[in-house]
This record gives sequence, structure tokens and C-alpha cells, in this order.
Amino acid sequence: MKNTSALKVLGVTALLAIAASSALAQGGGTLRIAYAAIQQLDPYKTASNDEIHAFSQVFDPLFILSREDFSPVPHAATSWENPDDLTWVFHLREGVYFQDGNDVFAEGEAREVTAEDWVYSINRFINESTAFAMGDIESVEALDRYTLQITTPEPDPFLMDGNRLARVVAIPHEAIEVLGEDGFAQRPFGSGPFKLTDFRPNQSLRFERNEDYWLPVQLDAVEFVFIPDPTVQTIALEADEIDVIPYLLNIDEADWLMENPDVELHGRGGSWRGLGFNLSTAPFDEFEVRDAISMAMDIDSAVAAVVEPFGFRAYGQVPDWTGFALDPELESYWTYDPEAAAAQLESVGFAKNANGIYERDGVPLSFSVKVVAGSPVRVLTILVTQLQAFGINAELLLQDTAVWADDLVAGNNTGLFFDFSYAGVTGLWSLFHSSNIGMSNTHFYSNPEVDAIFDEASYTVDFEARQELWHQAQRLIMADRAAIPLYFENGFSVVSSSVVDWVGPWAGLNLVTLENSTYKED
Amino acid sequence: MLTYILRRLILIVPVLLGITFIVFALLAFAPGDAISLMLGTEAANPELIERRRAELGLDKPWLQQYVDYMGRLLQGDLGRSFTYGTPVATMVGERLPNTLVLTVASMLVALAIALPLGIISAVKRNTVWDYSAMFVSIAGVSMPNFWLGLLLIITFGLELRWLPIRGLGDISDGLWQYLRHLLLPAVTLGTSLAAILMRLTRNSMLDVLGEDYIRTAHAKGMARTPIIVKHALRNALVPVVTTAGVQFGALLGGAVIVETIFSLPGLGLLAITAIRGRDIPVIQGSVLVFALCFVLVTLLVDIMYAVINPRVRYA
Repeated sequence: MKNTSALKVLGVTALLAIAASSALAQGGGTLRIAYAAIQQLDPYKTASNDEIHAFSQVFDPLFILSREDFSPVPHAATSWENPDDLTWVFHLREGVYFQDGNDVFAEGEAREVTAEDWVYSINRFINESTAFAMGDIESVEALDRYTLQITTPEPDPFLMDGNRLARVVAIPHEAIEVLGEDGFAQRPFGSGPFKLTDFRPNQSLRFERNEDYWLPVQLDAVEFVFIPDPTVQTIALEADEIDVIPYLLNIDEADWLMENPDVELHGRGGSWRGLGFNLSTAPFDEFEVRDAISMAMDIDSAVAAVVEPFGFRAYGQVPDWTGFALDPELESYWTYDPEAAAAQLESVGFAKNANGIYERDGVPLSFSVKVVAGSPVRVLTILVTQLQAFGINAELLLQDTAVWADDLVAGNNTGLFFDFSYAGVTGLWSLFHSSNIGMSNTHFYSNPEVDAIFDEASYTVDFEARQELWHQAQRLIMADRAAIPLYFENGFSVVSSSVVDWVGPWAGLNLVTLENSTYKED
Repeated sequence: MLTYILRRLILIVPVLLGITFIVFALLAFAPGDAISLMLGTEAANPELIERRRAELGLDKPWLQQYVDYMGRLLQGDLGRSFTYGTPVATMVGERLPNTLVLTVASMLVALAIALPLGIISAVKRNTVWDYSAMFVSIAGVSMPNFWLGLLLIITFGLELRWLPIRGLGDISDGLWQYLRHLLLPAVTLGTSLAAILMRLTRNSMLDVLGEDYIRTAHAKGMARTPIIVKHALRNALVPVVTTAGVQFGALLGGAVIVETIFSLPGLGLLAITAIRGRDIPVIQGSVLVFALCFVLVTLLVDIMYAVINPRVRYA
């Protein structure tokens, strides 16, 4: 019986090995990914999705976010635990080496990534990151060669968030010392599955397989193809000049792309779309005015007409792909009721003038909604038209992204505006905590009660309790009408059907992980 | 003539000085902060922002910045890109040839279309040939080049798969491959100019064909083709050449859009990327080079005008 069992185990193992080698044998090819602008590859000096997708090929993070539910999944760290609420201990994978054959490590002279490297990398992130922040860290130390410890002054359940520790990658200190900051940004290397072989900003970018990677790498190479226009990117995919568009900017194109049998849409995460109020500007500092504007628009119909099935109506700011459940109570906060809207405006002294526009003390209720190009413009066009029909003189003002962002941060003539599109769980905090006024809180919203709830949630380790606090904060913010949620837009990668095992980007573009190994079929 | 050329060359200096001042002032007062954009507004440490601003000299009054910039410029230093850290002169030097190639190719496409159609239209006035050429002219000037570019990409790149839809290719892959990459962008950029030049050629030819010396040539029994080509065309070309030269500036401007549509690594795309990222040194360098190209081409046109028309004498 024992011999039979052993034979069975051997047989199953052999079958698995054959299957694995067959899968590897199928793989290969050069994956061609479109991008609009890549100027540098230092992982701590950018928030550009294109640059993040590119440098992800060269570096390893401690963990990646699961393709199923965005929960942390082991990568360069094999496991982690919390001995207490203030301490995080990460156990590192052995046998992970920095790439060789570069300006720092000659061929065959690569060294292993250790806990000290992670201490260096995390400290560099804290000191140098220009796009993301770690939060409050008490200490970072190497307990031994493969054990990393991080301590925080308070419990920090958001440490593993997609915009925080997930952004840290293993960087050899020698690379910065030898190449300098600028040189490293142009000729980076890490421990990742691909080595940089060619980089000319906004011209050419190519990575080739790291033969010494700790996981099997099926692709021969990854090439980033410069195509600045998003429409041409789509055409290039259909013409088989590229294989992947990592993020479909114009959701309007999803309809006809789905009809192409040679192309697949992979959904993962998405964006929040909303209208924000500048609460420091009259008359938007009055609740009645904000409430009236929210009731004067039939948002459900506009979203149904333009966005669905590639998005869905939002009643809050926190999407369900972040781990927190959607709050069912929020739907009752928003109604389309023009009569009630009119009553609200009239209660604070507005009345329709001869042109049918609401005015008060001779000043009409009139504003421009600042927005950037993209699919939200279609929804906002409908909403602005509804406001005009209602009696509010609203119009859209299309702006360059840089100008729009600056205007929002400065509060420059931004009564009602197209809001920042945070898609992660901490977006709510970024947009509405008073400490972020002058940065991401472009509403100039300050509610001590909300701040206190945010602060408490930041230290609450228990998930259910933290979720409940987050929902409480969200309800207060929505009740205050600090913003008007419009919809959650699903994020899509557009991928050639010849690409296998693709996982859309989230806090990085990971082609080779324990969960997936992307390759191209012949 | 030599004196005239020298005087025009000297006049380039104050023209470029004026352009640098205007561009500098516009950038100083334009919305959008270069440092915030570079570092990311939401999470960037305010101390980091200020430190970076000081490193790049952006904390000084804008007039002081202009004086510093002109001081470096007079030494041939266009500065370094805020975004890349690369010398602007290097970036411009890499991209300018591609833009010039595209612009010259577009001009050739425009002339190749305009001259034959304009001549035929004039010689066969009020016939189906004339009306067809008019239609082509109106269509050409009416179509926005970004729309035409996308249409050509879809037709020849996607549906027919005859031509590549992006990039300039590498000349080392062969001249034919290089020209295949250049064809669609050149046609896109040159079409509206072809329409303008076609009308001009037609009208100019009609004027010349009505002259007495043309009637004399006919009366002497000269064949029609030599009359048109040897006698009429040479004089009819004078306004066409002048207009083509003046339109060179428009081609340079149009190159910005065409380079974006076709992902061509030219100066126009560099400029538009720099504007979006508020990379001030690159914007200034690109505009300066565009302006220099334009004034030099304008001078060249004036010289060619004198060559074509010996009656023209410059003081």
C-alpha cells in the first residue's frame, strides 16, 4: 500500500512537472506595451503610470497586490507578521540577486538582496519619494540577513496600502553611489525579472529577460512602444503593432474594442469620478446651494447613458475593489429632485431672473466646471445641460491637466470642479482630511469630527472596526455635500488575444509573480 | 545682394532676442507650476518642492531668471531640461533633423500635388479637370490635419496594412523603409499646403497665359508644352515660391500635431511634451530654434525670389 501511495505521489509530481515544463515551453516572445511618455525610471521619482509600468520590470517589491482581491501576496518577502500593533516583521526570500552586467555589478558578480538593502530602500523612499508617502515610521532595521522589521509610532493598518509600502522596491545602494541620482533614473537596475537594455526617453525602451531571476521568466523581452496619442494606441493594437495598452483612457472605445475577436479587455480596479465643491468660495460655502446643485442633476440617467456597463453609479468615494465594502446607506443620500432643489435655493434668497437664471442680489448663480479631457466630459456635458435647463448658468471649461491640477490646489476660481480621481482606499482621506488642504484636499473641507474619525481609523487594526469608521467618515462628508459622487469607472487593459496570463497593473505592472507569468503565444 | 543678405542676417539677432523675451514672460505668467507638476502635488514634501525650486533657480524674480538665461545663451548654453536633466542643445539637436526632414518632405509632397494640378487646372480652365482640381483644393484646405492623419492611419495602416503608422524608422534599415514611415506624415502635413499652392498656381498661370508674349509665342507656331513649361511656368512660379516659403512656418507649426499623431521623435513633439510638463528650458530652446529656422527660410525665399526674377534687386 505504501509503495502504491508513493508511486501515486511520484506520478502526480511527474505529471505536474511535465505540465509546468510544457507551459514554459509555450512561452516567449517580445511583449510590446504602448506608452505616452516615459522620461525617467527612478521608482521613487514619479507618479506617472507609464513610468511605473516600465520600472516595474526591473525591480522587485516586497509584496504585490493579488489579482483576485488586491490583498498583499508574497513576492520578495515570503511572509510577514505583526508581533504587536506597532511592529511589522517581514521574512525575505533567499536567493534573490541584484542584476549583473551593468555599470555597478559586472557579469557574474551580482550580490544577494538582503534585509540591509531593504532598510536602505525604505529609508530612500521616505527621504526621496516625490509622489507617494510612507506615513509615520519609527524605525526600520535588519534583524538578520533575511528579516526586516518596521515599527510605527502608532498602529498603522494602512501600511500595506497600494500607495505606501507597496511602492517600495529593492534598490542597491551602490547604484546610487556609482551612477548618481540622475544616472540611476536613466540606467536603473534592481532584482526584477527583466534587465534594461535600451532607454532613450520618449523614443525607445527595451527590457530583456533576466536569466538569473528567482522565478521562471517566459517572455524573451518587453518593449515599450512610444505612441503619445491614445487613439493611435488603439489603432496600433488592432494593427498588431503593439500587444498591450495598459490602461484604456477613453472608456468610450471599449464598446467597439469588445467586438474585435483579436483583442481582449481585462478589467482591474478603476477610478472614481466626482464633482468637488470649493467650500471656501461663495456661494459654495452654503450647504443649501451645494445641496440644490446635487438635486438638480439626474446623475443616474447620465451615468446609465454614457458609462454603463463599463462603470457604475457611485454614491460615495470609496470603491469596493479597495477591500472596504460599498456602503449601502449612501444611496439614500442622493436624489434627483428639481423641485426640492428649487426650494433650497429659494430658501437662501435665490430667485429666477428674466432670463430664467437663479440670482441673488443681482448676481446670477453662474460658474465654470473645470475638467480635463477624457470620457468624463460626456457625462459632465449632460449634467451641465441639466443645470442650465434648471436655471443655473453652468458651463464646462476644458483645461490642460497641469493647469487644472494647479487651479484645484490653489482654489483658483473653482466653485464646482471635476475632482481628483483617487481609486484606492486612502483616497477618501487624501481628498477630505483637513491636513491635506493646499495639497489633495482641493475642497478646502475641514470638519473636526471627520478628521477625528479618520485619525482613529488610521490606528484601528481590526478590519471590521476600521471599515465602519471609514463608512462613518464618508457618510459625514457626503451629508455635508463636500463633493458629488458621479460614478466608478472600471479600469481596463486592452490586450492582444495572443498574450497569455495578463494581469492588469495596480501599484505596478507585474508580469512575473507567484500568481502569474505573462507570455505570448506564437 | 551680399549687403542685403548680411543686413538680414544681422537683423535676426534682435528678432530672436524679442522672441526669447516674449516666451520667457509668457511662461513666467502662465498657469501651472513646473515644480509641483514635476514632483507631484498630492504627496510631495513642501520642503522638497522649495528645495527643488531653489536648485533650478525658479525662486528668483523672473527678470533675474531672464538675465541669467540670456547670459548663458550668449555663451551658447541653452540650459538643461528640468525633466530629463539633459542639455537642451543635445535634445534639440537630436530632434531637429527629424522635424526638418518631415517639413521638407511635406513641402515636396505639396509641390508635387499642387504644381501639376494647378497647371492642368489653368490650361484646361472650366472643364471637368478644372472643377476636379478645385474640389481637391477645397477638400485639402478644409480637412484638419489631425483628422486626416487618423483617417490615413486607419485606411493605410489598419485596413490595408500597406504602411506603418508610427515612428520614422531607421535609415540603416534602408531608404525605402525610411520613406515608407515618412509617407503618411508627409502627406498629412503637406495636404493643406498643396491645396493653397494649387489655387495659387492656377491663378498665377492664368495671369501669365494671358500675357502678350505668350500670345506671340503661340503666333510664332511654338508647341504648347514648351510655351507652358519654358515661358509661362517660370514666371508663374514666382508668387508660388514666395508663398511656399512663407508657409514653411505653418508647416513647422503643423509638425507639432503630425508628430504627435504619428509618434515621430521630432522637435514639435518635444515642444508639446515640454509644454505639458512645464519644462521651461526645453520650451524656450524649442521656440528659439523654430524661430531661427523660420527667419532663415524666409531669407532663403527672398534670395530665391531674386534668382527667379532677375528684375528684383535688393538694395
